[in-house]
Amino acid sequence: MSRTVILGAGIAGHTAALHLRRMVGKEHDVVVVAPNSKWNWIPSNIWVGVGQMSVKQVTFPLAPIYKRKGIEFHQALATELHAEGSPTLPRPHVMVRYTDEDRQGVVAPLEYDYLINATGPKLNFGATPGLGPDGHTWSVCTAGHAAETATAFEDVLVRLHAGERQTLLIGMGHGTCTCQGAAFEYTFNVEHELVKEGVRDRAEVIYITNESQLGDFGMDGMNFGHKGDVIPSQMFTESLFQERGVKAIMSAHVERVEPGIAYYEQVDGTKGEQPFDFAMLLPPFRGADLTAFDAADADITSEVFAPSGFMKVDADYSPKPYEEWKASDWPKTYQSVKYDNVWAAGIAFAPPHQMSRPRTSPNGTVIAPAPPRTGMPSGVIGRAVAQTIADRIKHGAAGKVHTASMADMGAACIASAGKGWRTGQAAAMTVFPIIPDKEKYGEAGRDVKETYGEIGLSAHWMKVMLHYLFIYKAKARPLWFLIPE
Amino acid sequence: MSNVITFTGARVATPGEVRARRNLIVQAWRFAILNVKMIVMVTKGHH
Repeated sequence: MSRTVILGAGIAGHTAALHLRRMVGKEHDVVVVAPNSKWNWIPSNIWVGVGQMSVKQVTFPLAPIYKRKGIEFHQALATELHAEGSPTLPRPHVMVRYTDEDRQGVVAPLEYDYLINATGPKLNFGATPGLGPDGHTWSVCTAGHAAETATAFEDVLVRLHAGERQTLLIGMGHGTCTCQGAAFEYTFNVEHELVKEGVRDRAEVIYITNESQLGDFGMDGMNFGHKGDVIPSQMFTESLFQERGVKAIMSAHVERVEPGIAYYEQVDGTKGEQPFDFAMLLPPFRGADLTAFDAADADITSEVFAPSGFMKVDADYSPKPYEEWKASDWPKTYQSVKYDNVWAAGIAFAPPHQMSRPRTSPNGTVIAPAPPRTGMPSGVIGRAVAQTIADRIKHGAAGKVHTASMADMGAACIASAGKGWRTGQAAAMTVFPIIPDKEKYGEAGRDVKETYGEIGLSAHWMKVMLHYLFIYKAKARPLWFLIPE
Repeated sequence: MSNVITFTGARVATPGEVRARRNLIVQAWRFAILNVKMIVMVTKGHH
């Protein structure tokens, strides 16, 4: 009998838990630890943020699903990793602090044989003074944040209908943010709602980003193959901005936010300030606050985790310039560098470097989009790690090690640009591979036959379909496992 | 000071392309094509 503990119930953790439960017998424990009681289909939060979906439509309680599937669930936050045991408890364990009503604040150890760290990101609003719902901007990172943002957006609509002019600032709240796609989607959903409400002419919509050019998306841009031509994602994205009359502030690091005004620095050292009536700015991510200890209870956090708080895995972390980055730098098995029974899946693993060229302003400010690793790659990685553990449980050390390198993986992304069965629009993009591989594909870095983008109503239908499909899958309904990640 | 830029030099969709993006028959066809493309990509993503 073995016991696998999975920290986190997001796309990576939940996928890993469901697959592992399916792959190993009931005599083996599968345990999930997550601080939230509900699962959230995060890609649809942008629709909650413009009042087009409710929180209930993008979330559901985890406990009943886990009870039905025979997965042990602890609503708790992991705080310490004792992978070698401790003087008081010799078996590997994690310390958790419960967050549910009954056991709020109670701290307890959870022993394991195998551990998956799928803790996702910590939303680091503190990196920029004044950023976030506790400051002066809104967020769509959680369903709760998105609901608050929708209320603030409704107030903007009321003022616009009253004849006032409004400036809406949407984008990245720090120079090292990732998830440009989410900010892009929210920008165009807001713009779509303004048009629907008939108040677009009184609203200024400004996108602020750390990208050096539109369409970078933290992926160093993409080159879409189209009828024998190659269309850069920059051209694709700039067209959409021009068609919708959205302006932008590029290569920007937001330094601080005060009520109604954002102060920023651009990569050329220029300082600027942008007044706003409404701002939705995403925070940078960092790893969950997990501390690691050895058997003697000495702090070894720096050996297990990168300075960003993400877990170090089988990647090449040696510092090197952009020109020397290789696809092979990226991890394949996601096994911890320190422990062979610990893995990090999804956002929780430390990437070896960015995908986009990092830039530094003359003032020394780093403006470098962090690499995205959400959604489809998170799910694929979660499943691969679950397969590795299942094979280890069944065959011991001879078990097959499954791989899921982002350098050998394609991804599909649907970026909504407005909701509506007849009026909706979205950009559908496929990319292969996710990590640019210039050795294999030349300067483009990717296969232009497989890297593709188009805008239209059909892509919106696709996004709606994926919303229902992935919630069905996450609820572990009949034949859920046939739906790919 | 604000450094807001516009993209006036960007190519914009022609009226025909805009109509095609909303045309139900064209988009139903594109939906089928997109599904195939996604399936191919998903296949490449799973090992």
